[in-house]
Amino acid sequence: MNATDGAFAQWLSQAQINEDRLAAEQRGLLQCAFAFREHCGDDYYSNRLLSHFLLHCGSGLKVAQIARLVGISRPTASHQQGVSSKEAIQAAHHRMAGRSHGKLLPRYAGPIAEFILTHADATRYDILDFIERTFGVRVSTVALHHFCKKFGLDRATRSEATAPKPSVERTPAEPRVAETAPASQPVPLPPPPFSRRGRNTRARSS
Amino acid sequence: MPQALDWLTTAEQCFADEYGSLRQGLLTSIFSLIVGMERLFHLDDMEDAGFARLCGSRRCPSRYTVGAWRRHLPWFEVDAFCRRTCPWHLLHNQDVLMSFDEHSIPRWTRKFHIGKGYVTTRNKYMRCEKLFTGYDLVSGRFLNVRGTPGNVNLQELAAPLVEQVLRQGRPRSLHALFDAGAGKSDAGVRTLWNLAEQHANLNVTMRACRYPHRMRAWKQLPSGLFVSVEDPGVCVDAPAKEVRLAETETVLKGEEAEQAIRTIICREIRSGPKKDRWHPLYTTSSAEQLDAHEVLSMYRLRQNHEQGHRVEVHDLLVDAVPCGYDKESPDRKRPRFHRGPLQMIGWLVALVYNAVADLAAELGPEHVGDHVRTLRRKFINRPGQLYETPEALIVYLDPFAGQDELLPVIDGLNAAHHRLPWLDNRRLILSLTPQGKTRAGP
Repeated sequence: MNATDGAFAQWLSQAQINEDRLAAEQRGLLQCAFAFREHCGDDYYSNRLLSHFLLHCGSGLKVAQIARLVGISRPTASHQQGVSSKEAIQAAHHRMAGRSHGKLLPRYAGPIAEFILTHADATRYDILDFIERTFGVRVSTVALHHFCKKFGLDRATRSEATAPKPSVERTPAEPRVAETAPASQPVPLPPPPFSRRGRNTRARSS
Repeated sequence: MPQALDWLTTAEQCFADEYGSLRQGLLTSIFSLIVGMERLFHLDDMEDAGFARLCGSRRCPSRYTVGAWRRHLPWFEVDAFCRRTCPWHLLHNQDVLMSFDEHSIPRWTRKFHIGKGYVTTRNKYMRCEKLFTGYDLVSGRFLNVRGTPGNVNLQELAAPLVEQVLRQGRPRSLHALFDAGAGKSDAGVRTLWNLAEQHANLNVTMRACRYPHRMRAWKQLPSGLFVSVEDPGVCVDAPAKEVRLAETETVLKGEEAEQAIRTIICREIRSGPKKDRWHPLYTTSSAEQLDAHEVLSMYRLRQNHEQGHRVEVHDLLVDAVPCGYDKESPDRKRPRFHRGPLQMIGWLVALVYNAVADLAAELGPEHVGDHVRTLRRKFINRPGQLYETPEALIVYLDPFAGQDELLPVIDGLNAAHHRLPWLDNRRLILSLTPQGKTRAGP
């Protein structure tokens, strides 16, 4: 037990965490986290799971402290904040699957556009999985981002395109003055209706 | 689409476009031919989003806009457009074999008295208008066009058309083939022969008119002059046809015996009581250059030009070109003639024919020679989805048989970064449904 305590203290000290300043819940949590590391090792998957848990369990630990505990950089830990569990696992899979191969060709844009529009809540890893499944190529998230941006399929461009825009050129219509008929005069009849402007023939199916 | 964008750029340089209808008018005229829309008034029925975007807008064009644009094309602007879009690069420094022929477009107006011409398919003289075209028999492409009233014949236009090809195409050598229409009178024959004498790189071969007095003379040629040649039969198991060829000379009307022109008499022997067929050919090429059988074989290639006209009529609806006579003429018995609309749409038909032939060549050797209608059915008129993003117009075609043959064409088109000016310069992207995609369950 002493040896374990010593290792736990050393783990905390290399993460520059003062053990005395930890609350009892935090201490208990970190002890469990330490036990998890001891049991599962410190490979990438374990570290990723542990960091995801520590970042989202509301322990009150700072992001920098968690980063030092699991041995990742501060910006990386920050990027992992707010990521769903599914996306964290997908990212781990993607990271460990090796180097990307193949190229995103422009003709893939159609199926990718359809996938994005029919799966509104799909993560970028879902899209990468779809691309790998469909075209047999594995590309990086950066390549996917560039591809989507080039063809206007990224989230920012799509949300910008669908956002309502205030028209600058059009001046607001003036309020219409209500037509009033003088007393003892008949109400003027409305003008005869115009002929229908719409097409009245059947449309050709595409 | 790439060719259409090039034609649009050229047209913007050639046409004044006072009413701003050039883009929609031109693109609609092109793509209605490609998709096989038979008549302009069918635009009323079109509500296809893809067709609308092809035609330069997000809404299908109105037939009134397009029709007005087509009817008011001045001949000099159309001539400029034709000159700049002719595929002269096919001829430059090449040994060219070209055919020149006319295509009659019948007109049924009784109100206007327009010139009559001979319409071969109806076998009679009737009111018509004509399109004269030059066709490169080596590459199988139309090279030039000229619209005329129906009473103009090939004899009047043969020399100008050949001169245009020599001047603008600059071929190393040109062998021009003509039907009998170019030599109805001996003066017409002599005009072409004089032209061949002026240009060292020009040879002319034409079918001679079978006037009775000439036929009598040819039939009296000694049988020893004729050399028998076997032609393959009409099909694999059919017996070979016997053709007898003879070389002689013909003295044209009012000329000396020294001016006689080389004539090849082809007598096709027919079995049974049927009469033999006689095909006399005049040619400027000497016997050292081409022997009689070579001249005959070369002349037979002219059928590809006739076949091109047939494809234009049945697949590209060339008979639906706007009429050349002016319906607002003050005197209906002497209507004015506007060459512009007739020639412009006739030339667009030829350009689309060439573009589709280019597409067939890109698709692979097994598609070379495919008719327009075949390619339209297989690859062009396909359903799909359109995705219009702020950056691109993505055309996502539904799966179809043989779509893999289209991959090189689509990759080439996507790599060329074509942008559509009428859609805020969006980039055009074509996509195919990947094969092997799992189908939805029942």
